Amino acid sequence: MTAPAVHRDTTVTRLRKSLPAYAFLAPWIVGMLGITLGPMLLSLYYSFTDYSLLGDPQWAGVDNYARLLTDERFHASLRVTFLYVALSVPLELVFALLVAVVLNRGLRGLATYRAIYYLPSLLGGSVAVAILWRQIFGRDGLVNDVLAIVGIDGPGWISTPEYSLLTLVVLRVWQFGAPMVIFLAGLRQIPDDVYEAATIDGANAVQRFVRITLPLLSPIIFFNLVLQTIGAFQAFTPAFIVSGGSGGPSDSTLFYTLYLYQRAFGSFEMGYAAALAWVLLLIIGVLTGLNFLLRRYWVYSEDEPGGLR
Amino acid sequence: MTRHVMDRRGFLGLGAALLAATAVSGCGGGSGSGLRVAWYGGAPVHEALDKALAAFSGDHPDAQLAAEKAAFADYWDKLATQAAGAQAPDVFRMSMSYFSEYAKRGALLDLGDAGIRTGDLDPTVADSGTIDGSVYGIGQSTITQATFVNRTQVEALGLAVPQPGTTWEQFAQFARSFAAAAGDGRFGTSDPGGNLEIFDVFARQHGTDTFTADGAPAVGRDVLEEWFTFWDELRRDGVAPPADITAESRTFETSTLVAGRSPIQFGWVQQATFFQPLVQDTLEVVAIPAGPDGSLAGQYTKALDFWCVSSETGDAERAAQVIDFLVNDDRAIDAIGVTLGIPPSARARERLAADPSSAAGKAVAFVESISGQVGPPPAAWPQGYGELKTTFQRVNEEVGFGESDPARAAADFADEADRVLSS
Repeated sequence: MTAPAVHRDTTVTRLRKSLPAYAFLAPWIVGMLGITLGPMLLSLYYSFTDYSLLGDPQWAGVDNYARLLTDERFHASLRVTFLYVALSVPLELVFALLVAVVLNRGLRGLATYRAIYYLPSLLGGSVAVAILWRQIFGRDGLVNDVLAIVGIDGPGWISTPEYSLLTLVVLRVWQFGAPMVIFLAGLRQIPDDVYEAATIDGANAVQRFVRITLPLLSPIIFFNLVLQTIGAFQAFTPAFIVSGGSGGPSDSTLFYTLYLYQRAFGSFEMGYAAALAWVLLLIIGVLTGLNFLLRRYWVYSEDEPGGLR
Repeated sequence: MTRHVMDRRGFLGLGAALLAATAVSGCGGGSGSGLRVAWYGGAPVHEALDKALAAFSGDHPDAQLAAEKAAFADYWDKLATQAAGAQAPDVFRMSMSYFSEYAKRGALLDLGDAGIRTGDLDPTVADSGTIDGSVYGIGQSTITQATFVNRTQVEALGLAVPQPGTTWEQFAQFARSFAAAAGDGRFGTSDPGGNLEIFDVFARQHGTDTFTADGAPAVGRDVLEEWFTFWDELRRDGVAPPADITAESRTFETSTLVAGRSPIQFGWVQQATFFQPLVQDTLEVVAIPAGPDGSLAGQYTKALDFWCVSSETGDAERAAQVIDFLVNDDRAIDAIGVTLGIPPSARARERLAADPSSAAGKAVAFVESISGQVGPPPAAWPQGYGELKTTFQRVNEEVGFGESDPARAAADFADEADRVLSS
């Protein structure tokens, strides 16, 4: 506020003033440079080498990237991963939204229900749940025990190629809690008077949901869609644990990240694995960009004329 | 303006101190002054080796040993990462599957002149650790492939346990008889169609090792196809379990032998001591089925695992002492027993004088009984073996799920072997 202070604010004093801030930021900066950015750049370099993890890397040009074109297991992993994302993300979001809408109706004990439904999200990425899944969907597991009651002799869900990926999709949908909590927060933001006005105008529940809830919630849906899509592409633990690290049976659960891991640590092809990682980054980047491009066609923006506030 | 509770200088000092503290603790885990000894295995292995190393520490009070233990699957990620960062343990257990990988990439120290006594070791075991004239590992156990038979189940159905010399043809007949007599939900054999190590015996019965001494594919595609066909037919006829059951039975606990679904399981001989405690019935250890002539020359005895020293170790002398102790000292032999495999010296086997009716005793007796009839051991498994093992399992699985056929599986494996072994 005082003019003389500005005069005295030389570079040195400014620096001195901001030093404490940098000191507090230091742990993050060190982590960012040393644990994120540094390794990322190094992996970009490795992706152009034949780095084996044990020996010294030799420059290999674009060999690793060229190999992607003919690597059939890589193609298999792409198919599996895209199928997984395409199935699990919409299902998870629909499920999360439905539960959020139900919970938003002023249920008594809302906090408790919210906590219960959120719980699987906290547990979902863990090894323990993946092991549990293996038990539930195993040949002698809970699902088949239930089916046996009605006289169906179920297959080994996780050990049959046709179903193994679906069990992992179910696992992801089961963890709908995180997007649900975000949806709930979004639903709370929609003013009650909008609904009241619509009701007075004779809109029924379905119309209110389609005409009011969905448009006003669309920014939140968009946010969840982007986040869950990225998360699904990066899924690793479920496939690793349920298939015992193999991506089997017969590559039916060979997630992209699992294949990358196999290349890096199973066959010591760290250079190739690094190339895989960068291609995954590219895929996720392109899809996220596409999501943002398509946003204007369906996401309601409050900046536009006719907005609510 | 209120007075600062702490002035800026104080803030800065605190920040710097915190930074320094995190930096120091970050480096703390890496290198100590002692010797790090790492191995993989289950609880019995950990107990055995802890006991053996305690005895070593008793003799060498100045030695500071730090043990690093892991399960087999986790061990390799960790070791590879450590080796990449030049932080590998000084002494570590090495599997035959990855031995060449590490040796050829310069991660292992040549122990040729380290003074480790190997005079008592079986010659085949002592030789197994040599690659290109350098001794990169000291064999810690001897192994051979084996068939585990549930005697109780077999005899309950009025059949006889297959004896060494039983041909594959006769074995298939045995399995068919068992499956027919046992009824629904039970099978005559497990499905080792995807097990490269059992196939190795089959390949050798057809005249070649699976891989040549310099690590190129050796076995013919026709032999591969014959093998995949053999198991495919048994699966189709309900004699071997379908692929989804096999996919769920890859651990000792879930194996078809332990689940009571098959009276037969194939594996390495020392696994008799892992399977037996899991079943009530009596298990026998017999040979892998033989070629048409009934000879056991397809099998071999060989070192399964090695003790290796990191090429980055700071104390090669002490590391060699530890290995020498683990392989030769009576206290180590007693502590280790058969947890690492069948002991690699006649002296150790006699010393253990295992109870002949126990699983360990049967395993030891089996190795002794076939040692005169087996063929020469193959060279160290080639670089890339670990990966090909997985490939072999996958192509057999694809046949089992009807996504491929034996001819294609043979071609797929052979192509992949060409690719992996040429790089």
